[in-house]
Amino acid sequence: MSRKLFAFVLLLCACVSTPTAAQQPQPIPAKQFDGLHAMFKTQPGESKFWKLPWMIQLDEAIEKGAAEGKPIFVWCGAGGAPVGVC
Amino acid sequence: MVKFLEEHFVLATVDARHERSRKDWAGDFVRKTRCVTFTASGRKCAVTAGGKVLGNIHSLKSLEKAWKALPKSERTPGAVKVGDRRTIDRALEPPKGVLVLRTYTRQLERKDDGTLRYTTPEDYPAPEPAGTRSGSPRREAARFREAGHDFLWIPPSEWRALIPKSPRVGDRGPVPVTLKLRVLRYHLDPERGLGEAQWFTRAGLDDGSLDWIVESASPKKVRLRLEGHATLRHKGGRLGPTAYTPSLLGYLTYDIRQRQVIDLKMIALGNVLNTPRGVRPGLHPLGITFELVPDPVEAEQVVPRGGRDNVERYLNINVR
Repeated sequence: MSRKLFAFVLLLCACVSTPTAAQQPQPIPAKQFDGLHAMFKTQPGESKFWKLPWMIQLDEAIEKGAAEGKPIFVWCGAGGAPVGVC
Repeated sequence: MVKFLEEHFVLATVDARHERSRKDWAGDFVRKTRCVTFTASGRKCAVTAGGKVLGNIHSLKSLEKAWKALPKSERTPGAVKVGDRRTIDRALEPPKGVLVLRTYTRQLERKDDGTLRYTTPEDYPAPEPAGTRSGSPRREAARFREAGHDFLWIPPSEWRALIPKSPRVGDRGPVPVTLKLRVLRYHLDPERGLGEAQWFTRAGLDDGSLDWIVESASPKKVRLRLEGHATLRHKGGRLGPTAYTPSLLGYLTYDIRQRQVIDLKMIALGNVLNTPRGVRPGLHPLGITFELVPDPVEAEQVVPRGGRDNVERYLNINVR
């Protein structure tokens, strides 16, 4: 009987302490803010396409290509400019 | 490759839906060259200002060769004339006075001691989980491990309402409800970086909180701390429900003399249940960084994902 009770208590503790998505999240400690803010951002070597000088107005890009004698590289998304969702 | 592209091409990143339907000479150019996608997938294409498609985009050298094979009349600067008298049908840019914030969405994992770490390919399932169609997440892990990009627009009416009139340290209040709902509905989405779906667009007032607290106040500047949390859930994912329950923490600095927000940073951190598209079943940490862009370059002026289908609905949030 006591073993069953012990097992039940253990199970209850496990259920209570296992994090779930529905639990209220813990506040973020202020002293961790700067580190986390930097950690989540793009890191060196990632998202290299952001180093390029993209234009978002196609008419202006075509005019620039004509003026500078350069072809136009068009990168499009089906529902938006890819730089904003990739 | 980055250097080659920058030196040899003019680079444009565009929304195919807008470009296909525009009613100006650039629209004619698009319909003639088919340089944007006509399907649900993205596309890359190299074209000349005169309207010729240059060939296989996967070989930049062959594109350069094709370009150089064109007659000089098509390559000489200023030789090709473009445009006409019709009104230009531009892509949408941020309305005047809007604050533009960049957002970065990062999938994470925890070390044995509970601290956060970046994911590794082994954190992703291989092969794909049952019921999903996105291929092996582990094979595509390089893409999933990077931060997903998006933008947050805050209209002037909202950020002005956020600044207390007579700030005293410790004062506290809720951020404008439309700002809170925009963040909940469009900017705490684990889909960013994976695709264009949106999971929490039906979030309501009870699904989260976001308050400001005065941290410091002087005749020159006011600094606010932003605190809150969210409990977001969507029932219909391929792996079961998708949920995200982050805490929010941020800091805003307002310059009283300039009447401008000069700094605004915020993070969201919490567990996501069932990362969309079958990328990561189960419960995993997800972090999102928000950061004010004081002087956005052109590519930082693209419409936020939340506003692409209906920017008015995004900017003028329906409080229900």
